[in-house]
Amino acid sequence: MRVLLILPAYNEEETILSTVRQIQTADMPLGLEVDYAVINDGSSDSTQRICRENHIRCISLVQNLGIGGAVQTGYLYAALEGYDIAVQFDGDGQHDIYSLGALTAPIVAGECDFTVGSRFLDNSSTFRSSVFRRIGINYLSSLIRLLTGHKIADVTSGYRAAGRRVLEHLALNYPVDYPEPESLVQLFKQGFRIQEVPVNMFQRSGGRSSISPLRSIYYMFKVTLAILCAAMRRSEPPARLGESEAS
Amino acid sequence: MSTLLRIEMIVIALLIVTIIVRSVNRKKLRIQYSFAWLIIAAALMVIALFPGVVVWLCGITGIETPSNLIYLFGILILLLISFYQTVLLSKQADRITRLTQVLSIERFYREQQEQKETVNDE
Repeated sequence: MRVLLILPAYNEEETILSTVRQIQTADMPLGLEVDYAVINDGSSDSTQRICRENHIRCISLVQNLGIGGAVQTGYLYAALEGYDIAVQFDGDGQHDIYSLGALTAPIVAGECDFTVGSRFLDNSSTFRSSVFRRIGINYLSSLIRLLTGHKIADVTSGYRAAGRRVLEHLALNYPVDYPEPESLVQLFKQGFRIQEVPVNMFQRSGGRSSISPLRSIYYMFKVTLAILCAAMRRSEPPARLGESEAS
Repeated sequence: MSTLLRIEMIVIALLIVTIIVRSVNRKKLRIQYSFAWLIIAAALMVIALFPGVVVWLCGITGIETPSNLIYLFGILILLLISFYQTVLLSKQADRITRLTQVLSIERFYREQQEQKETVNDE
Protein backbone atom coordinates (compact mmCIF):
# COMPACT_ATOMS: atom_id res chain seq x y z
CA MET A 1 0.00 0.00 0.00
CA ARG A 2 1.16 3.52 -0.78
CA VAL A 3 1.21 5.87 2.17
CA LEU A 4 1.69 9.63 2.10
CA LEU A 5 2.89 11.44 5.21
CA ILE A 6 1.48 14.97 5.22
CA LEU A 7 3.80 17.33 7.12
CA PRO A 8 2.20 20.74 7.56
CA ALA A 9 4.95 23.25 8.39
CA TYR A 10 4.58 26.86 9.38
CA ASN A 11 7.87 28.48 10.41
CA GLU A 12 9.46 25.16 11.38
CA GLU A 13 13.02 25.96 10.24
CA GLU A 14 14.49 24.52 13.46
CA THR A 15 12.81 21.14 13.23
CA ILE A 16 11.72 20.38 9.68
CA LEU A 17 15.05 18.96 8.52
CA SER A 18 15.48 16.59 11.48
CA THR A 19 11.84 15.46 11.17
CA VAL A 20 12.30 14.62 7.49
CA ARG A 21 15.64 12.91 8.16
CA GLN A 22 13.91 10.77 10.80
CA ILE A 23 11.31 9.73 8.25
CA GLN A 24 13.93 8.99 5.61
CA THR A 25 16.09 6.86 7.86
CA ALA A 26 13.36 5.04 9.80
CA ASP A 27 12.55 1.39 9.12
CA MET A 28 9.12 1.44 7.57
CA PRO A 29 6.47 -1.21 8.36
CA LEU A 30 6.43 -4.15 5.95
CA GLY A 31 4.15 -3.81 2.96
CA LEU A 32 3.97 -0.02 3.18
CA GLU A 33 5.55 2.20 0.57
CA VAL A 34 5.91 5.46 2.48
CA ASP A 35 6.35 8.89 0.88
CA TYR A 36 6.20 12.26 2.55
CA ALA A 37 5.26 15.76 1.46
CA VAL A 38 5.98 18.89 3.46
CA ILE A 39 3.24 21.48 3.07
CA ASN A 40 4.95 24.80 3.71
CA ASP A 41 2.11 27.10 4.77
CA GLY A 42 3.62 30.36 3.57
CA SER A 43 6.36 30.37 6.22
CA SER A 44 8.13 33.67 6.73
CA ASP A 45 11.31 32.00 7.95
CA SER A 46 13.76 29.87 5.98
CA THR A 47 11.62 26.69 5.93
CA GLN A 48 11.27 26.87 2.15
CA ARG A 49 15.00 27.46 1.57
CA ILE A 50 15.96 24.58 3.85
CA CYS A 51 13.58 22.29 1.98
CA ARG A 52 14.96 23.31 -1.41
CA GLU A 53 18.64 23.01 -0.42
CA ASN A 54 18.11 19.56 1.05
CA HIS A 55 15.90 18.28 -1.78
CA ILE A 56 12.97 17.79 0.57
CA ARG A 57 9.71 17.20 -1.27
CA CYS A 58 7.82 20.37 -0.38
CA ILE A 59 4.62 21.94 -1.64
CA SER A 60 4.90 25.63 -0.82
CA LEU A 61 1.54 27.36 -0.56
CA VAL A 62 1.59 30.65 -2.43
CA GLN A 63 0.00 32.30 0.59
CA ASN A 64 -0.65 31.34 4.21
CA LEU A 65 -3.87 29.34 4.61
CA GLY A 66 -3.74 28.24 8.24
CA ILE A 67 -3.39 24.68 9.47
CA GLY A 68 -6.71 23.45 8.03
CA GLY A 69 -6.03 24.68 4.52
CA ALA A 70 -2.46 23.36 4.64
CA VAL A 71 -3.45 19.86 5.77
CA GLN A 72 -6.22 19.80 3.18
CA THR A 73 -3.65 20.54 0.47
CA GLY A 74 -1.89 17.36 1.57
CA TYR A 75 -5.12 15.36 1.34
CA LEU A 76 -5.82 16.85 -2.09
CA TYR A 77 -2.33 15.89 -3.26
CA ALA A 78 -2.75 12.37 -1.85
CA ALA A 79 -6.10 12.05 -3.66
CA LEU A 80 -4.63 13.27 -6.96
CA GLU A 81 -1.60 10.98 -6.70
CA GLY A 82 -3.67 7.91 -5.88
CA TYR A 83 -2.30 7.17 -2.42
CA ASP A 84 -4.12 4.47 -0.42
CA ILE A 85 -3.49 6.05 2.96
CA ALA A 86 -2.71 9.63 4.03
CA VAL A 87 -1.17 10.28 7.44
CA GLN A 88 -1.00 13.66 9.15
CA PHE A 89 2.41 14.02 10.74
CA ASP A 90 3.57 17.17 12.53
CA GLY A 91 6.64 18.91 11.16
CA ASP A 92 7.83 19.89 14.63
CA GLY A 93 9.02 16.47 15.75
CA GLN A 94 6.17 15.69 18.16
CA HIS A 95 5.09 12.49 16.46
CA ASP A 96 7.04 9.23 16.60
CA ILE A 97 7.54 7.73 13.15
CA TYR A 98 7.82 4.29 14.75
CA SER A 99 4.12 4.45 15.67
CA LEU A 100 3.23 4.58 11.97
CA GLY A 101 2.76 0.81 11.71
CA ALA A 102 0.34 0.72 14.65
CA LEU A 103 -1.55 3.74 13.33
CA THR A 104 -2.06 2.38 9.81
CA ALA A 105 -2.57 -1.31 10.68
CA PRO A 106 -6.37 -1.11 11.25
CA ILE A 107 -6.82 0.66 7.89
CA VAL A 108 -4.58 -1.83 6.07
CA ALA A 109 -6.57 -4.66 7.64
CA GLY A 110 -9.82 -3.04 6.51
CA GLU A 111 -11.11 -2.73 10.07
CA CYS A 112 -11.76 0.97 9.85
CA ASP A 113 -11.50 4.02 7.56
CA PHE A 114 -9.71 6.47 9.85
CA THR A 115 -7.44 6.17 12.87
CA VAL A 116 -6.53 8.70 15.56
CA GLY A 117 -3.16 8.37 17.26
CA SER A 118 -3.77 8.74 20.97
CA ARG A 119 -1.51 9.89 23.79
CA PHE A 120 -3.96 8.75 26.43
CA LEU A 121 -4.92 5.16 25.63
CA ASP A 122 -2.02 3.62 27.51
CA ASN A 123 1.13 4.82 29.22
CA SER A 124 3.47 4.10 26.33
CA SER A 125 3.61 7.78 25.37
CA THR A 126 6.30 9.97 26.89
CA PHE A 127 4.11 13.00 26.26
CA ARG A 128 2.81 14.95 29.26
CA SER A 129 0.46 17.88 28.82
CA SER A 130 -0.66 20.63 31.20
CA VAL A 131 -3.70 20.29 33.46
CA PHE A 132 -5.65 22.92 31.52
CA ARG A 133 -4.95 21.22 28.26
CA ARG A 134 -6.17 17.92 29.66
CA ILE A 135 -9.37 19.56 30.94
CA GLY A 136 -9.99 21.09 27.51
CA ILE A 137 -9.37 17.82 25.69
CA ASN A 138 -11.61 15.89 28.13
CA TYR A 139 -14.38 18.44 27.63
CA LEU A 140 -14.18 18.18 23.83
CA SER A 141 -14.04 14.40 24.05
CA SER A 142 -17.19 14.32 26.20
CA LEU A 143 -18.95 16.72 23.85
CA ILE A 144 -18.16 14.57 20.83
CA ARG A 145 -19.26 11.46 22.71
CA LEU A 146 -22.54 13.13 23.65
CA LEU A 147 -23.26 14.20 20.07
CA THR A 148 -22.06 11.17 18.11
CA GLY A 149 -22.13 8.34 20.66
CA HIS A 150 -18.51 7.47 19.96
CA LYS A 151 -15.67 7.82 22.42
CA ILE A 152 -12.36 9.28 21.25
CA ALA A 153 -10.04 10.24 24.11
CA ASP A 154 -7.41 12.29 22.29
CA VAL A 155 -9.64 14.43 20.08
CA THR A 156 -7.02 17.09 19.36
CA SER A 157 -4.35 14.65 18.25
CA GLY A 158 -2.78 15.67 14.96
CA TYR A 159 -1.30 12.22 14.29
CA ARG A 160 -4.01 10.59 12.22
CA ALA A 161 -4.35 8.25 9.28
CA ALA A 162 -7.04 8.23 6.59
CA GLY A 163 -7.93 5.47 4.17
CA ARG A 164 -8.69 6.15 0.52
CA ARG A 165 -12.39 7.02 0.92
CA VAL A 166 -11.77 9.33 3.87
CA LEU A 167 -8.85 11.10 2.25
CA GLU A 168 -10.97 11.82 -0.80
CA HIS A 169 -13.68 13.17 1.46
CA LEU A 170 -11.23 15.34 3.42
CA ALA A 171 -9.64 16.66 0.21
CA LEU A 172 -12.97 18.34 -0.48
CA ASN A 173 -14.31 18.99 3.04
CA TYR A 174 -11.89 20.08 5.69
CA PRO A 175 -12.52 22.53 8.54
CA VAL A 176 -10.60 25.80 8.45
CA ASP A 177 -8.90 26.37 11.79
CA TYR A 178 -8.21 24.05 14.75
CA PRO A 179 -9.73 21.34 12.59
CA GLU A 180 -9.09 18.09 14.46
CA PRO A 181 -12.15 17.76 16.75
CA GLU A 182 -14.54 19.17 14.17
CA SER A 183 -13.36 16.83 11.42
CA LEU A 184 -13.94 13.84 13.73
CA VAL A 185 -17.62 14.77 14.13
CA GLN A 186 -17.85 15.32 10.38
CA LEU A 187 -16.40 11.86 9.66
CA PHE A 188 -18.65 10.14 12.22
CA LYS A 189 -21.64 11.86 10.59
CA GLN A 190 -20.54 10.57 7.20
CA GLY A 191 -20.68 7.07 8.62
CA PHE A 192 -16.93 6.37 8.48
CA ARG A 193 -15.47 3.91 10.98
CA ILE A 194 -12.95 5.55 13.30
CA GLN A 195 -10.53 3.83 15.67
CA GLU A 196 -8.23 5.24 18.29
CA VAL A 197 -4.76 3.73 18.43
CA PRO A 198 -2.13 4.27 21.15
CA VAL A 199 0.94 6.04 19.74
CA ASN A 200 4.04 7.66 21.12
CA MET A 201 4.49 11.43 21.08
CA PHE A 202 7.35 13.61 22.25
CA GLN A 203 7.45 17.05 23.76
CA ARG A 204 7.91 19.69 21.10
CA SER A 205 11.58 19.88 20.20
CA GLY A 206 11.31 23.38 18.77
CA GLY A 207 8.89 25.97 17.42
CA ARG A 208 5.85 27.23 19.27
CA SER A 209 2.42 25.69 19.85
CA SER A 210 -0.23 27.20 17.62
CA ILE A 211 -2.52 27.65 20.64
CA SER A 212 -1.41 30.34 23.08
CA PRO A 213 -3.02 30.48 26.56
CA LEU A 214 -4.83 33.74 25.81
CA ARG A 215 -6.47 32.30 22.78
CA SER A 216 -7.57 29.04 24.35
CA ILE A 217 -10.88 30.37 25.69
CA TYR A 218 -11.78 31.73 22.27
CA TYR A 219 -10.61 28.43 20.80
CA MET A 220 -12.96 26.48 23.08
CA PHE A 221 -15.98 28.58 22.12
CA LYS A 222 -15.16 28.35 18.45
CA VAL A 223 -14.56 24.61 18.46
CA THR A 224 -17.71 23.99 20.51
CA LEU A 225 -19.76 25.96 17.99
CA ALA A 226 -18.09 24.18 15.07
CA ILE A 227 -18.75 20.78 16.65
CA LEU A 228 -22.40 21.62 17.35
CA CYS A 229 -22.91 22.79 13.76
CA ALA A 230 -21.16 19.72 12.35
CA ALA A 231 -23.31 17.46 14.53
CA MET A 232 -26.48 19.01 13.13
CA ARG A 233 -25.45 18.71 9.52
CA ARG A 234 -26.85 15.92 7.43
CA SER A 235 -24.38 13.61 5.74
CA GLU A 236 -23.45 14.45 2.18
CA PRO A 237 -23.22 12.12 -0.80
CA PRO A 238 -19.76 10.58 -1.26
CA ALA A 239 -17.21 13.19 -2.32
CA ARG A 240 -15.95 13.34 -5.87
CA LEU A 241 -12.98 15.31 -7.06
CA GLY A 242 -14.07 17.89 -9.59
CA GLU A 243 -12.60 18.34 -13.05
CA SER A 244 -10.87 21.50 -11.89
CA GLU A 245 -8.75 19.68 -9.30
CA ALA A 246 -8.09 16.48 -11.23
CA SER A 247 -6.23 18.02 -14.12
CA MET B 1 -44.86 64.09 5.94
CA SER B 2 -43.49 67.56 5.10
CA THR B 3 -42.92 68.57 1.51
CA LEU B 4 -39.27 69.33 2.25
CA LEU B 5 -38.69 65.77 3.56
CA ARG B 6 -40.39 64.36 0.46
CA ILE B 7 -38.16 66.42 -1.83
CA GLU B 8 -35.11 65.30 0.14
CA MET B 9 -36.10 61.67 -0.25
CA ILE B 10 -36.54 62.06 -4.00
CA VAL B 11 -33.11 63.68 -4.27
CA ILE B 12 -31.50 60.88 -2.25
CA ALA B 13 -33.26 58.25 -4.36
CA LEU B 14 -32.03 59.85 -7.59
CA LEU B 15 -28.54 60.12 -6.14
CA ILE B 16 -28.52 56.41 -5.27
CA VAL B 17 -29.69 55.47 -8.77
CA THR B 18 -27.00 57.67 -10.34
CA ILE B 19 -24.20 56.23 -8.19
CA ILE B 20 -25.33 52.64 -8.80
CA VAL B 21 -25.69 53.03 -12.58
CA ARG B 22 -22.29 54.73 -12.82
CA SER B 23 -20.66 52.02 -10.71
CA VAL B 24 -22.15 49.29 -12.89
CA ASN B 25 -20.98 51.01 -16.07
CA ARG B 26 -17.48 51.49 -14.71
CA LYS B 27 -17.45 47.80 -13.82
CA LYS B 28 -17.05 48.54 -10.14
CA LEU B 29 -20.29 46.77 -9.28
CA ARG B 30 -21.86 43.66 -10.73
CA ILE B 31 -25.45 43.88 -11.97
CA GLN B 32 -26.54 41.16 -9.56
CA TYR B 33 -25.43 43.21 -6.55
CA SER B 34 -27.01 46.43 -7.83
CA PHE B 35 -30.58 45.18 -7.40
CA ALA B 36 -30.72 45.59 -3.62
CA TRP B 37 -29.65 49.24 -3.87
CA LEU B 38 -32.00 50.02 -6.74
CA ILE B 39 -34.91 48.51 -4.79
CA ILE B 40 -34.03 50.75 -1.82
CA ALA B 41 -34.01 53.79 -4.12
CA ALA B 42 -37.35 52.72 -5.60
CA ALA B 43 -38.85 52.30 -2.14
CA LEU B 44 -37.68 55.81 -1.15
CA MET B 45 -39.25 57.18 -4.32
CA VAL B 46 -42.58 55.47 -3.70
CA ILE B 47 -42.71 56.74 -0.12
CA ALA B 48 -41.88 60.27 -1.23
CA LEU B 49 -44.47 60.32 -4.03
CA PHE B 50 -47.20 58.43 -2.16
CA PRO B 51 -46.80 59.04 1.61
CA GLY B 52 -50.20 57.42 2.06
CA VAL B 53 -48.56 54.04 1.59
CA VAL B 54 -46.54 54.45 4.78
CA VAL B 55 -49.53 55.64 6.77
CA TRP B 56 -51.54 52.69 5.47
CA LEU B 57 -48.72 50.26 6.41
CA CYS B 58 -48.56 51.82 9.91
CA GLY B 59 -52.23 51.08 10.33
CA ILE B 60 -51.72 47.42 9.40
CA THR B 61 -48.59 46.80 11.48
CA GLY B 62 -49.65 48.80 14.53
CA ILE B 63 -46.56 51.03 14.43
CA GLU B 64 -47.41 54.49 15.75
CA THR B 65 -45.51 56.90 13.56
CA PRO B 66 -44.51 56.60 9.87
CA SER B 67 -40.90 57.53 10.69
CA ASN B 68 -40.57 54.54 13.03
CA LEU B 69 -41.82 52.26 10.29
CA ILE B 70 -39.25 53.64 7.85
CA TYR B 71 -36.44 53.23 10.40
CA LEU B 72 -37.50 49.68 11.17
CA PHE B 73 -37.60 48.66 7.54
CA GLY B 74 -34.35 50.47 6.85
CA ILE B 75 -32.56 48.59 9.63
CA LEU B 76 -34.04 45.24 8.58
CA ILE B 77 -32.95 45.71 4.98
CA LEU B 78 -29.43 46.73 6.04
CA LEU B 79 -29.21 43.63 8.28
CA LEU B 80 -30.32 41.48 5.38
CA ILE B 81 -27.75 42.99 3.04
CA SER B 82 -24.89 42.61 5.53
CA PHE B 83 -25.88 38.99 6.21
CA TYR B 84 -25.87 38.32 2.50
CA GLN B 85 -22.45 39.92 2.27
CA THR B 86 -20.97 37.71 5.01
CA VAL B 87 -22.32 34.67 3.16
CA LEU B 88 -20.67 35.94 0.00
CA LEU B 89 -17.45 36.64 1.88
CA SER B 90 -17.33 33.07 3.25
CA LYS B 91 -17.93 31.64 -0.20
CA GLN B 92 -15.12 33.73 -1.63
CA ALA B 93 -12.77 32.74 1.20
CA ASP B 94 -13.46 29.07 0.37
CA ARG B 95 -12.77 29.70 -3.28
CA ILE B 96 -9.52 31.53 -2.54
CA THR B 97 -8.42 28.62 -0.34
CA ARG B 98 -9.13 26.10 -3.09
CA LEU B 99 -7.40 28.30 -5.68
CA THR B 100 -4.33 28.61 -3.48
CA GLN B 101 -4.19 24.84 -2.95
CA VAL B 102 -4.58 23.90 -6.61
CA LEU B 103 -2.17 26.62 -7.73
CA SER B 104 0.44 25.54 -5.17
CA ILE B 105 0.20 21.89 -6.20
CA GLU B 106 0.43 22.83 -9.89
CA ARG B 107 3.53 24.91 -9.17
CA PHE B 108 5.01 21.99 -7.24
CA TYR B 109 4.45 19.72 -10.27
CA ARG B 110 6.10 22.25 -12.57
CA GLU B 111 9.16 22.61 -10.30
CA GLN B 112 9.48 18.83 -10.18
CA GLN B 113 9.32 18.70 -13.97
CA GLU B 114 12.00 21.39 -14.29
CA GLN B 115 14.26 19.58 -11.83
CA LYS B 116 13.90 16.38 -13.83
CA GLU B 117 14.79 18.22 -17.02
CA THR B 118 17.92 19.79 -15.52
CA VAL B 119 19.01 16.39 -14.23
CA ASN B 120 18.51 14.93 -17.70
CA ASP B 121 20.50 17.76 -19.29
CA GLU B 122 23.54 17.14 -17.10
